[in-house]
Amino acid sequence: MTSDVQLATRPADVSARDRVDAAKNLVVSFVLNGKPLSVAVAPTELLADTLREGLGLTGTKVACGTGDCGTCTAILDGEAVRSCLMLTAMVAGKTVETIEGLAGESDIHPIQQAFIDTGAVQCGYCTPGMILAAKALLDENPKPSADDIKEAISGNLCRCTGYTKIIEAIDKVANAVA
Amino acid sequence: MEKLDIVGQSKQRVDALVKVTGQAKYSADLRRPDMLIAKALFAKYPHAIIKSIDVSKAEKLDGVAAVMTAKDLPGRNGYGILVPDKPVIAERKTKYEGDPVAIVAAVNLDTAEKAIALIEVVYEPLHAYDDPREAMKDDAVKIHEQHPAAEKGNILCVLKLDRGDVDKAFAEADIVIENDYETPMVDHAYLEPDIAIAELDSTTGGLILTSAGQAVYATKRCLAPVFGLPQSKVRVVAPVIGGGFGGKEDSTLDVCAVAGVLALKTRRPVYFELTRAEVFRTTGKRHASYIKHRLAANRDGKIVAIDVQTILDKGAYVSMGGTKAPLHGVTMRTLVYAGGTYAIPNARARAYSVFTNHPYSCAFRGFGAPQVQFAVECQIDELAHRIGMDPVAVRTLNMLKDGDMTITGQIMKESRGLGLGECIQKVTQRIKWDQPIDHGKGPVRRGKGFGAFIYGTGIPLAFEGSSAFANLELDGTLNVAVSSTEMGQGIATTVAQLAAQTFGVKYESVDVVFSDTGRSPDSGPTVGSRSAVMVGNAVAEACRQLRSRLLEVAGKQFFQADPSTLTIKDGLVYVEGRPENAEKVATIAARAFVSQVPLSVIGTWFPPQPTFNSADGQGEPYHAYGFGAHAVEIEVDTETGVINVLRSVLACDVGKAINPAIVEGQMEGGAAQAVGYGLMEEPIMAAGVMQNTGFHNYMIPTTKDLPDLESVIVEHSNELGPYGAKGIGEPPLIAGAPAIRNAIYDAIGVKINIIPLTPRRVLEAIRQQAGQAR
Amino acid sequence: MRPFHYERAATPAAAVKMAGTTPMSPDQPSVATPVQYLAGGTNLLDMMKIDVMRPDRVVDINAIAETRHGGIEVSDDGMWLGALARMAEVAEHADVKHRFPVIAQSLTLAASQQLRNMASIGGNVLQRTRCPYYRDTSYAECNKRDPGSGCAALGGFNRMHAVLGTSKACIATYPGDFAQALIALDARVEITGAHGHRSMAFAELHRRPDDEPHMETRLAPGELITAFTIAALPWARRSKYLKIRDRESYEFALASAAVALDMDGDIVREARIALGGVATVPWRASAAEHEIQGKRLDERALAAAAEAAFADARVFEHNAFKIALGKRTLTRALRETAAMET
Repeated sequence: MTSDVQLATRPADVSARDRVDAAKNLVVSFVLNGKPLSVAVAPTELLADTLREGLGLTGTKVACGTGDCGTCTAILDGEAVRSCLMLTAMVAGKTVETIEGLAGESDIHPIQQAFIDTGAVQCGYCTPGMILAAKALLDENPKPSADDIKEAISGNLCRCTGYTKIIEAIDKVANAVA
Repeated sequence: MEKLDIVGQSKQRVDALVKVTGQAKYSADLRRPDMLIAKALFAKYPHAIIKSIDVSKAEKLDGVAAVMTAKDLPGRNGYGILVPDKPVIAERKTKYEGDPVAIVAAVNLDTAEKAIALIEVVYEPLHAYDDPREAMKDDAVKIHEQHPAAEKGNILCVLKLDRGDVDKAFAEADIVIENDYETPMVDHAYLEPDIAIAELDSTTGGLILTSAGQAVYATKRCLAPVFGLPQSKVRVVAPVIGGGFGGKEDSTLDVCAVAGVLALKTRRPVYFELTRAEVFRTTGKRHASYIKHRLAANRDGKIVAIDVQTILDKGAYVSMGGTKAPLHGVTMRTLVYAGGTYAIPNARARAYSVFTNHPYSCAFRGFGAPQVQFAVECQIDELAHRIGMDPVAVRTLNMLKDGDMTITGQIMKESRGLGLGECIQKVTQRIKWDQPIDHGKGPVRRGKGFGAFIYGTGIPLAFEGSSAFANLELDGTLNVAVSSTEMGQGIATTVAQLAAQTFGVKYESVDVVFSDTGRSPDSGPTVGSRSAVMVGNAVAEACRQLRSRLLEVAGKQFFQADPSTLTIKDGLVYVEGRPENAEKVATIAARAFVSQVPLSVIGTWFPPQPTFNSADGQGEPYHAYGFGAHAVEIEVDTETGVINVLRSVLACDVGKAINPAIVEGQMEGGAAQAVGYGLMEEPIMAAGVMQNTGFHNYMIPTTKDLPDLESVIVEHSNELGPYGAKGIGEPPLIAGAPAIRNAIYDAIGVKINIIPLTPRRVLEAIRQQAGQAR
Repeated sequence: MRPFHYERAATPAAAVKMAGTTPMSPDQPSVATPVQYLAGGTNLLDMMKIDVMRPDRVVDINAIAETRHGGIEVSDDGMWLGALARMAEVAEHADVKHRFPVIAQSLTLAASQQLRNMASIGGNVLQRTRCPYYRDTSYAECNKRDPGSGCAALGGFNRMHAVLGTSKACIATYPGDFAQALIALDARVEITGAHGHRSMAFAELHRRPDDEPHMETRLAPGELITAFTIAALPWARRSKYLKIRDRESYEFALASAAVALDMDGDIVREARIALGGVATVPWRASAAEHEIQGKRLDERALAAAAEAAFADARVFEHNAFKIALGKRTLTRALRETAAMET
């Protein structure tokens, strides 16, 4: 990916603009999916863009760019956040998890497996964000109620499934017999 | 009867693993070397004369590779699925907010946006039409000064259906129910925005378009003239798609046209993606409708006639709206379904499709059926209340049964699957319809509501049918190729199951190539709830041919047996009943290969040719119909107007569920969209300008707006469907909104004939009713 | 997003000092202040993406969260909330839920889980209106963005707009929820700036639009909210936030009410009422409080309170429903608060 192709900043429709390509003059160090790394970014760069464009981790989606849909969900220091409304500069010194970091060497994560087993995946565009929101929930609250699950993913839109099988998948992981 | 061990099973989706791990590559995840980024300058005014355009400042900007206006286009400045009336770039006039006035390709997004801001356009704004009832008046300004298909002024077409003696039936009927209904435009709200990548094809000298679109062959045919290229030099590929619901049949044309002409101009790959606000403002919507529905019935509940007038908001372009010729699209469906799923001897229906300055109305899950069946299902409820009969009993009394005739004159046959009765029975049982509900005494009241629906499988046009390709590999695996797109509905999985079952290999031994005009034969567009049946049959046909060729070789060269005594199962060939003496498919395939037996097959399937007479709306537009029933239990907060859906039970007759989990997924998704349609979704248009262009103000249901969505699969086999299947993609959406509306009536006795049923609208209706009561 | 200079500050003092190096005029629109503090970023970055806010400098104050100003302190005397505490932290804090339920509820009913995890409570009270004409720069008329340019909402689709506290210059609704809860509990806000620390009643923080809708708060340029304090008032425990909206998650209020009551048997000893979704600023309904103080909360008192709350309401073309809805929201909130077990 050449540096002159910055696809992912998505301002809403505005008429007058006066902007230049800002220099990538900030070096930001953080832990991504368990591995420390440093990236050089412009101050304006959003975490979603660094992940997708800079690091090629396209499992993080950007469906609205305004924090409304949840497809860009990442986990920051254990909390689910919107990576499209966060400067990459803000994650300095923190740990970030994306969908690419969930699977182990040989097995996928139990939440991923549950999404497959219950048929919770259709078009798949919401899926990475949903799974990460679910992981943040279960890491903090391993036995959530149905309402807890609904609340935790209520900021993640899905247009295909009606959420029924997604909630079922998360519940299945939470209430799996060990 | 063959025992089914693959079809009918909830096999793991072929695309599930790559989707849960984030590895699936959607259009937005693809990059090309040396790729340019495109942006469009969309119309500032939805209806205006373009006086002048000055692009000189934009052209001089560093990093800009091309700026194009209408005069720079390489081919025809018009395209459309049915009629080529939508310009790639508006030339003299803008007709809605989504008309590009100029387009730009630059080295990066920032530069492209900066260039767009430097383009100077002078407009002369005209009155913008929001309401088709205003736009259809004689003195209205013509939105299209000359339109290739328009009948008169802004009226694109008037379609008619006539059956029996309607006036006489109304005159003699005991009861006449007449109401006006309104349904909104709705955005598809697929999560993946519209994207196209266009690049030169170094092999053919033409173009390759990679785009999230639902109809790769149609895209090629519609756009080749735009590029000034023969169809053979345009290749269209759709990667996995992040939701479509009908919208990406058209919107892919918009983005492909822009990216394509810029790629031809710059000779470099071009990437064009719409922002979410642009998706809302510029892409197609469900047709808004204004329906006057009259229904005549006898005191015993039997419906004797309907007289229906539907005015559809066409938006700016024909899209899938339909015309008299070619006769297709949403307008015609509003005639076919004007009487719902009931046997009605006398029917008159008129459907007007009228241009406005709104986004073009296009295909959206249900294709005209949700609009007109909303009216029908409200009417039936009112009939029940008027005669003091149970609403479900009225439906059962009137529903289409074996031998009954539809209002288009088609005779219903149980052999094609008529499962409505069973759907009604299962739903009423599960929701305990016959037990009285406690409506409550405080401000929050409860109610139950019901709706039923009918929906034809496939496209009601003479060309309907599919081709599919199957290739038996020499290691015993099977490759299947179809042009259908995988947009979440699971066609790749469904096709793999049908192929494995029909040919006789393991499900895991089949791989499916989809939606690439360079690699797939034409299976038709991925619309109309047609793929499982049309494409499924074509795949099954290809696999049957391969199977018989392989058995021929096995019989002659391995078993010295009549091929009809042999079977293939799990990749093994053996004499029926003697699996211990089996040969591998791979072994026989290898022998076939050196015996000049072709192992590549095109399977095709065409349904009985659909008929529909545009003069009177009579004919047999579909070979089979899906049916269903939807019941909801709701709470109405009479102080705030907030509706809470407590239960949703939906039963659909799908003929045969090839993959029950996928079918349930379609049903749950349809039910969820029905709740959105009924309660909250509505583009707010002011003089053609959409006011709610983000997911924060164009609302779709969240987890907290939906109950656990209950689905019941009913299977009344379709003799012509693969393993008995009928279409299931669209039907689940149809009856949810009227069921909610009917439940509100049950709860508080207030009837509201406009959706969505927002708190404001519910409060207003309660206030009005209280005022009338006084 | 337009380019900006990015800096980080680890203490409120350092942040104020950094901001102070850019000269700022006290009467320029709040939205146009050239230096912006960045906390959660959920509102600021959104506003910058849509080009409504265009700061030259962004001072990232998230490191302040590591200090006391990221914490929550609850004692028998009351509560101190650091401005950098995240909405989710406050909403999910057991003592807050128990002792100051209206605070926890107002936060839980706002935004979505991911946004609550990110957004600071200091930033939350300052979040900008959702008026579409303010958020879309293609509308030239907006007195908040561009003083004197007019108000497109007055003649536009104003279903979501305010009925209380409006002026000829602006009818934009204050979008938040938490601010109403702070008003119901007589909260104070602590502020630091170039000229030192100060505090004020939270209810004084926001300015009604009047002739100057671009002046949204009484913060001077460069001032930073550092904390909120709430005394352990007798009505804190019996408090509630009720929010009515078009959708059950991630949606702004059509009408909301934050109510706190001190009851003596069935007599209201003291009442606090703040309304949301219906007003241009977090709205204390003093007249409504007056109607029920010292009275039994019967239907007559409830009706009088609702009437008083909306006595000065002005409706526009599409939002007349907000008066009836606002009244019912208030009476229900009062009824349910009175019935609370404490």
